Amino acid sequence: MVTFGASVVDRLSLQLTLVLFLSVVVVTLFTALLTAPQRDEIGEFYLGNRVMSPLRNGLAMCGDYVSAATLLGSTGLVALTGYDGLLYLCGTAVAWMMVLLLIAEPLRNTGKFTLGDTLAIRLSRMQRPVRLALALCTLAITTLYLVAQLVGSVALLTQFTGEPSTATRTLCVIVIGTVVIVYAAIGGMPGATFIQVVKAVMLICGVTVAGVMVLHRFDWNFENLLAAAADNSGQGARFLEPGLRYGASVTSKLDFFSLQLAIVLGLAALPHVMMRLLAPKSVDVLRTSVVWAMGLVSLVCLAAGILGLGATAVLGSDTIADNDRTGNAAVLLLAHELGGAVLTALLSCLAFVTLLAVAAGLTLAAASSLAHDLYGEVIRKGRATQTEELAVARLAAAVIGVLGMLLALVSWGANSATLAFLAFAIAASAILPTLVYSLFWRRFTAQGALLSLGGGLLTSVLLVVFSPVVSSAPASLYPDADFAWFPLQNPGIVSIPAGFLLGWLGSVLSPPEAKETYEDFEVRTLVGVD
Amino acid sequence: MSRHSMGLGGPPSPYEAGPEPADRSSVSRQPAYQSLRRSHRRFGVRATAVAVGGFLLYVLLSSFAPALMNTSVSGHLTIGLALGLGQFVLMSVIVWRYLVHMRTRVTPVVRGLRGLVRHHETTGRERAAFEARTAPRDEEFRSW
Repeated sequence: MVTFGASVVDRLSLQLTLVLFLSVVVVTLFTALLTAPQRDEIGEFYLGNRVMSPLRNGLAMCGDYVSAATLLGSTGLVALTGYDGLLYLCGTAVAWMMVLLLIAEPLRNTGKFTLGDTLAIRLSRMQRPVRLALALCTLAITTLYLVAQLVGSVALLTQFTGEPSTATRTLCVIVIGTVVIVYAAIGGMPGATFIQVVKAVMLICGVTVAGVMVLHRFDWNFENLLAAAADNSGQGARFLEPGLRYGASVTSKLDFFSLQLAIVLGLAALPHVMMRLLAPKSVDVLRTSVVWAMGLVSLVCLAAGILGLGATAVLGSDTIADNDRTGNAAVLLLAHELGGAVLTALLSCLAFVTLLAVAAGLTLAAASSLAHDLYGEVIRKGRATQTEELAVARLAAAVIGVLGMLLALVSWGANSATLAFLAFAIAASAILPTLVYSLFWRRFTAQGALLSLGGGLLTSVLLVVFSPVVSSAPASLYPDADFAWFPLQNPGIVSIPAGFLLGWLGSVLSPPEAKETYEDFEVRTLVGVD
Repeated sequence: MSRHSMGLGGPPSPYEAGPEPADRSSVSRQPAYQSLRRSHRRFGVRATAVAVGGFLLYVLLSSFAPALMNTSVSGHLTIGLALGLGQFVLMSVIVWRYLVHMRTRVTPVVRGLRGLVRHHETTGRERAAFEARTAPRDEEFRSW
C-alpha cells in the first residue's frame, strides 16, 4: 500500500537525484540505440549474439534478479521486523541455488531463444498447444511483475514529493514506461543488457559503500550493531527473534512458509531470468557467469541485511514507520543520515534505475515469448521470416509496455510486493513443474505440461482472489466485501504442489511420448551439441 | 527451421546442427554416459535437497521452534541469526563442491562424448552422401 509520509529528502538531494537519474537514462538510451541490432536477426535481438564475458553476464544476471523490491522493500522489512525480514533476504539468495544446480546448464544445452523451444524438443508431438499455454503463463507473470515495478516507481516518487497529484503520478508512470519500451523494443537484448550491467554495478557499489559506512559507525563490531538495533526498535530482544511479523498464529506462520516456498522456487522460474540464462556463449561461460551472479546476489543480500539493521540502529523504528508504514523509506533515510545529500541521491537514483532495468528485462522476455512462441510457432507455424518475427517482437514490447502502464495507473494504490509475490507463486506453480518434469522425468507428456501450466496458473490466481488480499481485511482491495475462504495471503503452499500433482496426473493418464525423444533430449541436456 | 540458420553468431544451435536421433541414442548406450548420467543426477538431487531443503527447514524451525532459535550464542547473536549466516556459508560450500564435481567428473566425460557425437555426425553425413551417390546400387543389394 502506498502511504503518504512526509518527503524523505531535502531539496538538494532531490535535484542531485534528478540530475544523476537523467544522466544515467540518457547514457543508457544512447547506448541502447547504438548497440541496437542493425540487421533483422532474431538471434541478435533475443540474445545479443552471445558475445559477453562471464563477469558481464554475471552482472546482468544479478541485475535481472535483484529488483527494487529487494533493495527497498526487504531492507525496510528488516528495519521494521528484524529477524523475519532477514529470512526474506536469505530466501532470495537461496533461490539462485536452484538456478545454478538444476536449471541453468540443461536449459542452456537444450534451449534456443525461449523456454518454449526447449519444451518443443522435449514434447514435439504437441508443441503448439504447449507453447500457447507457456506464452499465456509468461504473459501473466511478466505483466504482474511489470505492474509491480511501475507501481513501485509511484511509491518511490512518494518518498520525494509526498503524495503525488494525479498528474505527477501519470507523468511518472508514462515516462518510466516509455523509457522501458525504448530499451526493449529498439535496443533488444543488447540494450537491456547494458542497462542491467550499469544497474548491477551501481547496486553493488551503492549497497557496499552504505554497508561499510554502517559497520564503520559501529566500530566494525556486529554485536554493537545488533544491540543498537534491538534497543532502538522499540521491541527490545524480540526484534532479533522470529515471529515479529508472522508469529501471531499458526495461519500466519504457514503464510510465511508459503511465501518463502514461492520465493525459493519461483524466482528461479521467472521468464526474464531464464531468458538471461540462454545468452552466454557456451556452457562453460554460463557456469562461470552463474557463479559470479551467485556471489554478487549473496553480497547484495548480506549488505541489504546490514543496511536494514543499520537503519533501525541509527534512526529507530518509529522514524522509519512514520515515513512509510511498509518501511520502503528505510534505506533512503539511512543514506541521508550517513552520507548526506550525495549518498541519498546515489541510492534513490539506484532505486529508479533498478525499476527501469527490471521492467526492461520483463518487457523483453514477454515480447520474445509472444513473438517467438505465439506468433512464430503457433500462429505462423514456423513459417514466419526473421524480419516479420522481429517486427512482431518490437510491436509486442510496445503493447506490453503500454498495457503495463495502463494497469499500473489503474491500480497505483496496490501493494507492489503483493503483486510481485503473486508473480513468484505463478512462476513456481506453473512454469517450474513443467520445466523440472521435462528436464528430469522420462514419463512426462504434453498433456501433463498443459495441465500443470494451466492448472498452476488458475490455482494460484483463484486462491489469491479468494484470499484476504482481495477481500475481508482492512488492507485488501475490497475491504467491505467478504468472500475470502482461503486464509493465506500467499497461495504457494497449495498451488505449487497442485502444479506438480497436475503435471503428474496429466502425464500418467496420457499415452507416453516416444522413448527416443526423451533419450535424445537427455543426451542433449548433459552433453549439449556446441 | 532453416530460417534461423544465420541467426546466431555463436556456435550452431541444437536445431540446425540436426544430427539424427540415432547418433545420440548410440551415445546414450555408452557406459561412460550412463555412469555420468547417474552420478550427475545424484549430485544434483543431493545438492538441491541440502540447499533448498536446509533453508526451508530453517524457516520452519524459526516459525515453530522459536525457543531453540532464540538461544543466545554470544551477546545478541542467537542460534537463529547464526544459522541464517550459516546458510550463506552452506551455499558457498555447495557452489564449491558443484564446481569441483563439474570439473573432475562431468567435463572430461562430456568432452569425450561430444567428440563421439561429432564423429557420428560426420560419419553419418558421409554415409548419407555415399548412399545418395550409390542409391541405385543400394536398391540392387537390398533386393538381392
